[in-house]
Amino acid sequence: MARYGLRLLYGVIVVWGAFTGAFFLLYVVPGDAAGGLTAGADGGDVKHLLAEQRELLGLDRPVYVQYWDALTGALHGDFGQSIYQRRPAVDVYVESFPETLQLALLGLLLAVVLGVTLSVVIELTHWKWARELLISLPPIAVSLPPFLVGLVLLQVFAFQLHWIDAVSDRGLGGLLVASVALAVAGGGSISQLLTANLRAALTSPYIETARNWGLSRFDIVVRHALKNAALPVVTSLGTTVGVMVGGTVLTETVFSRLGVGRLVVDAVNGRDMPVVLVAVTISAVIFVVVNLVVDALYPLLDKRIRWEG
Amino acid sequence: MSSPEQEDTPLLRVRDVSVEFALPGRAATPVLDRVSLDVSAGSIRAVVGESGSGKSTLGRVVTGTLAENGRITAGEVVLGGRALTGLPERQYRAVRGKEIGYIPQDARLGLNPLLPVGVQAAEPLRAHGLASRAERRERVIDLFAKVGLRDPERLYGRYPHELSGGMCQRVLIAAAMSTRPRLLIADEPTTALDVTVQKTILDLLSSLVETEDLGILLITHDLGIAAERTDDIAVVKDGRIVRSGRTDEVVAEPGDPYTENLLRSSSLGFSGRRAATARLEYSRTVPADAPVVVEAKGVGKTFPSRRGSDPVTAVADASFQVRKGTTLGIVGESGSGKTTLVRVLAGLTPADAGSVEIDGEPVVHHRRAAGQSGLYRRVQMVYQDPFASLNPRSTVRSILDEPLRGHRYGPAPERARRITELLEVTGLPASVADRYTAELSGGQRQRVAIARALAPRPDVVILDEPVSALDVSVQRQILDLLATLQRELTLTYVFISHDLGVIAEVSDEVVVLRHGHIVERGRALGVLTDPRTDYVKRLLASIPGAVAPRSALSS
Repeated sequence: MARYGLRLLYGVIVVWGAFTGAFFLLYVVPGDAAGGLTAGADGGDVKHLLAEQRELLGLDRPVYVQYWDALTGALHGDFGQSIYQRRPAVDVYVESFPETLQLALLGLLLAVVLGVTLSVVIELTHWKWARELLISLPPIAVSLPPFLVGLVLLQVFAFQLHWIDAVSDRGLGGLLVASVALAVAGGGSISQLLTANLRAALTSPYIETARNWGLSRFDIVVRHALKNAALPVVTSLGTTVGVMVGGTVLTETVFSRLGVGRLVVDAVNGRDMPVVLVAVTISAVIFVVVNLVVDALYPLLDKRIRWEG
Repeated sequence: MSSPEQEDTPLLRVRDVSVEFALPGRAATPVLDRVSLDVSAGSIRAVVGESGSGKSTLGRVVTGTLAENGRITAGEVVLGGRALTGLPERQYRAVRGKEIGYIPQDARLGLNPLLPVGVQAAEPLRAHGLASRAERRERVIDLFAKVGLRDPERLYGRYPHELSGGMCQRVLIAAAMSTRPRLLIADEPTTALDVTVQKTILDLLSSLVETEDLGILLITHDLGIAAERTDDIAVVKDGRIVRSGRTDEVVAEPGDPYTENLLRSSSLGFSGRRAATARLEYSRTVPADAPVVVEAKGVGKTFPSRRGSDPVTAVADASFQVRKGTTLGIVGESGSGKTTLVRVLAGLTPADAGSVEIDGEPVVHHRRAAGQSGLYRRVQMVYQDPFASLNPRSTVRSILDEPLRGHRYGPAPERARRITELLEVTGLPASVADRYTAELSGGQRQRVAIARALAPRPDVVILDEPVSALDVSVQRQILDLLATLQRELTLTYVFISHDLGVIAEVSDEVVVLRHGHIVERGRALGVLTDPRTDYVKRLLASIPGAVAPRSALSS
């Protein structure tokens, strides 16, 4: 369990790194929130107005003071006020979170289901041409840009079939289509990895044994090879979740969904530091927790692996 | 034993079977050529041959599991009056695992590492719909007890890595027997096991033949096992049966040079006394005041273990000396600490206790040991499996160049000369230099591995089971090569083997390890012909062929 404690420490370092990285990236990008707030202003006193706003927001303080303030605040759970909405950044984030959570979870679930099903079907397909065709699908899915998938789906389901609204459909159909757009790349990468691992697992001696016991091809693939082949895929799930978090930004933009992705895009554009820091920190925490869970899952799947004392 | 009526209608009848393998862009390669043999109920038929002879293909013909590019071009396989050749896959599946049981070569690898062994042993019952879930568990536990597994209830939920190789093989035998098959195909069932375990597994198979009226097709490379355990033998060479008949007749009169050679090089031909006596003559040529090259003093090594159990003692208080130009043989079963001991000798693993000196210089586990004058150059290793120890994507030249560069042997032209020289002394043609190791045979690869060990002109060569992964006829050549090299280069060997026949032939002194402790030590001839401990006596007794052939006993 000592090793698990060490992982936890690494996790804390990752979250801190993400927080700090986001802070300084946003700091070095030209422009700040004061500029955003005074965007409409005109005339000779713009400079004066800018300086006033900066002072008000505390942006005129040295950067290390700002950083220290932000960090100590965050450690107490206080990320400060959203500059534009004038209420706690955490509240702003929490409001849009369920929308994105739905999308990301459904996307992840679809990615796993699609990826695993495709890999199993590939292994069960007898006809060579059909197999070749199926094998070519995962790499294509991975290399398709997510916004393109989104736009194509939008074109088909909104403008041609009229099953969903083109702009921020809040129904189940809209959620489903958006999840598919999000799941394509993840499912492709899961299937790519799983297909290669299944191929390797199926050449193992224990598969030969199972075949000689009279098991059907389906039983051999699903009961005996799949679990062995799935271990590396479980590891990759940690990364897939990371990809999903990034993917929601694009997907939400394309489908005009008001989730965390959209919130972050707007916050970055407006240099709304507190909102950006909340979003980045929580994403990093989710990423770290998922990876810790994956690590903890491993010994359950493979009894040969144990936590060394 | 088989009665005349049974011989008329044997359990398994293979008639004039030919098999071809299609390779892309090449003409089909024939693998079996008009092979015929029978297996009667209540008897064991051995199929003996070297690797690549087609003996395993013959097993696959019977189980209907040829690789996709393999094709039966002629002949038929009949099991109990029913033709199996040409059967559609779905119907074949009903036969496989139900009427034909199968035992794979390496029991540990033959079981799925992620499923409990009990669940796996129940798979044939489940696949053929022979028992409900609850019944399956009960049946498997019964079978576990029947094949000699202790505490079967608890074993049911265990995983393969928690079991020994012999236990895994018993699990697989239980699985195969669960459907009460009439025929059992055992493909090298004991090759991966220690000799003492080998004996108990073969005993189990023999008893099943008696009690279940089972027919067994035993595929093996070891004519010694075949002679001791089987009723009939078929010797396969290049896809053809070159000799077939009752076991005692084949052993008494091999008839052709191939069979004779197999017989000679098998463990049946082992005579510890003769081999050790021959070696003694060499030992006498080594001057008595030859300097001590390797000296181990009270070497100990323990590994920390999982929570809750005591640390594992791999080696405890091991002391010995090896003089220049002699061989120390290290004998012991797997897990006895042989490999840990030599890793300490080579400076690859630090010892917890005691010390090792090479040429009077202490072995240190440190980077300073590298380089031309360093310790690592003076101790080199040759590993068991040349398929695993050589990178298949490297040419022989780059493999041999690596240690030369690593130990800063000299400029490129000088290294090139050394590589040519190395190929010559290890009996490899110069043309091999630019081939990839994947293109070489097992024997050639082991020569490359030996050449690589000799490259930086070591004083001590550690040979870790250098011939046990090789075919018997190739084993002979490699052992001869090692003997020649030792004589000409005055090399000092530390030779690990589980095969007492090999140890008797190569060793001047022998150390017997058990659970990390040296239980016997001394002149090879003395230890092998007049063992003092029960352990060594038992090791000697488990060598196949040490007792009379089975059929000779029964006739």
